[in-house]
Amino acid sequence: MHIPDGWIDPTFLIITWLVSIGVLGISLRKMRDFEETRIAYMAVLGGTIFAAQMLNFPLIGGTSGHLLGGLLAAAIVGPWGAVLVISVVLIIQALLFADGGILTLGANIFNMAIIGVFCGYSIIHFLVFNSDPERQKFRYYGGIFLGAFFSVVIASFCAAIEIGIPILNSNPAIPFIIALPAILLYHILIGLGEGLVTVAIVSYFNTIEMNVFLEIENPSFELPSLRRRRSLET
Amino acid sequence: MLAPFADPNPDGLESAADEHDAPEGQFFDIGLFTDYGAEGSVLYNILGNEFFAIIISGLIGVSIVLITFLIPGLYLYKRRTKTSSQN
Repeated sequence: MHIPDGWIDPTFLIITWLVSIGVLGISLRKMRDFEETRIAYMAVLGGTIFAAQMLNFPLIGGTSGHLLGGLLAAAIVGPWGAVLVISVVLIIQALLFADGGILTLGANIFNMAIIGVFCGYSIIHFLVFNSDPERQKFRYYGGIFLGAFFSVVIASFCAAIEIGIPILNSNPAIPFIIALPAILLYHILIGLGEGLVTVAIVSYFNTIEMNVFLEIENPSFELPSLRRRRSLET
Repeated sequence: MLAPFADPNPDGLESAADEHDAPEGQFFDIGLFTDYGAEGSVLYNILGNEFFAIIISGLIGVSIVLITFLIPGLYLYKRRTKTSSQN
């Protein structure tokens, strides 16, 4: 889902760069409060996700897909840490490996590191955090699957909007009406793959009782709606 | 190590673009590890073998990501130990 240069309307380039810089700034400030284990996990996760993104798996019609890893990172190090992990991977891919454009780096960070991470995280926040993987298997692993699936699909939906809707540039690379179904179709399949791989990884670590999911065990972030509900209760 | 066996077909976004004849996007490329050491990259030209070029470019990428997090991590760790020893 790495968008190359020349595909996005300048309006979206500016908006996504501004949002990405803002969120990265907040994430870096939050990183100062992270414990050492979380930072070590971020390093290992970054390396693992970089390697995993090189392993394309086959889909239908001569198309391939690869793990994005946003939900996995969010489940382990929390959303702010995950934003940094995925952003660093994307920056290195764009600068050294010509995977995704430099001008569109803001959009790629926005789609995969911000939208992907926070959408997936919101789903596991509601479904996974208060459930027991032993007694509520369906809810726990279903939540992980849905979080991973929607992190890919919603990120690709944003990519389709950025690529397909012209604002300043009257001639989009692919018109939105064509871009949306084409991009969504492939990313629904990639999302299914992402969901299955993420569930397999989470289930493996739970089976060997290796507690790496720091965020699921001890959430560092509270969604505004939950915070409001809790303040009303107290 | 498994990267050379990855599916070489285009990913979802590239496929959607190919199907609708979208123009090839322009990108900045220093050429060292283009497409993870694929044919045409400097690394491929040095090694003359795509299999090893992909593995080495992957290892370099993973190492850079690890170092990117370990340096600020070590800095934060040292700063915290210094602050706690001062207190």
